Amino acid sequence: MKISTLFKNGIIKENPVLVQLIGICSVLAITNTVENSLGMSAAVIAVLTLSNIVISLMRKFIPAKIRIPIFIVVIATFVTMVQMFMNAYAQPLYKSLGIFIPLIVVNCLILARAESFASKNGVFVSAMDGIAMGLGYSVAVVALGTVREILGSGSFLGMSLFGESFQPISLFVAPAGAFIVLGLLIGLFNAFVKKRITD
Amino acid sequence: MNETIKLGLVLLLVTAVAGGVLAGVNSLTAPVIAERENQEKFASLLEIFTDANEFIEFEGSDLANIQSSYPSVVSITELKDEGADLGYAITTRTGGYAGDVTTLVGINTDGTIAGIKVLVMTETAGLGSRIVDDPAFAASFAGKGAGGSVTPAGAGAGDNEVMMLSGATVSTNAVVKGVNDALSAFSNSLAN
Repeated sequence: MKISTLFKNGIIKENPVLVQLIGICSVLAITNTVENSLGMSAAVIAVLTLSNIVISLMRKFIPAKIRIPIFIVVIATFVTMVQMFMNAYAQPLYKSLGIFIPLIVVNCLILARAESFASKNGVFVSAMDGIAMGLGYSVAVVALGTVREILGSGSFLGMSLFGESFQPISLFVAPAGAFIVLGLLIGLFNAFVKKRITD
Repeated sequence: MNETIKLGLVLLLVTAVAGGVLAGVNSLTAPVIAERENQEKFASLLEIFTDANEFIEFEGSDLANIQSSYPSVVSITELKDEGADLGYAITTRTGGYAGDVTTLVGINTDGTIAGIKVLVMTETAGLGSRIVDDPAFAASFAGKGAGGSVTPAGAGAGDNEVMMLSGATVSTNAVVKGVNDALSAFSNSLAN
């Protein structure tokens, strides 16, 4: 399998958020600011890549009947590690992401990659798949966070853009706004990017 | 039967390794987290007692004696300004809706509450989390408690009444219990 295909799949053809629509719960919740989006992206890339590597290494020893509990244990271990490190070294981020860090455990994106890719492929390609899918997630989440922060708070990465007189549309910070922006983003993505690349 | 045992053993092995790895990471990060929580507590102390410049931490048997009667008490700090008593800051840990709630309770020498601050909590975002997010909640405690305890009721306007957060009864009660434990510990063991 070619590495470039993996990245093309992860970011465009099978983008986990914009095409497969998996892991949407946390996407809607944490994309209210760009900073949260970046933090969540980093956490997802780390967990996805590491769990893909470990599951790929263990794939010959995992009995088929109990593969799902074992995947979950591996994923939960990495999530807890990420959580501990964030709490220790990136406290503000840890506070604003809150409950959504432990919820990475049940993010279907990560379990889906373990089940459909890492448990069937070698270590190197599994790691690359983790990075590629994680990047696909990041692109979508950061785009969503950018639109929502600019419209909803009038700022980008916490820096005010329009001055005092700008009245932000607070709907876009709320979950309802997340649905609207995500819908528009998926539409635009399908109309322009995905079509051009796959044709 | 044999297969079940084998599967169980494999799962046991995997979880045991995972547990071991996490214990290692925890021993690495726990001191950093404790250090930071300590600094946050210190900053909160200064928010409540702005004039404090002397901090006397209760340790050993002094703390253990009070903890034996009030198990929710985590730590006690006596605060002074140039030798003059300002009061005590008592940290309590009580059970909330989702995990423990750690509350810092500042008590003036006359037994009234100087101020409170919820330091650590994992309550539901938007409901229980208002014990931190809603500044009116913590503010409703200040000056109360002269009778030895506070009760949650409505907006918390009455004597020794504090704000009741609707939809977050368990979280409110966790903080109130922590505050009341601190008040009792103060009046029974610290006030003179």
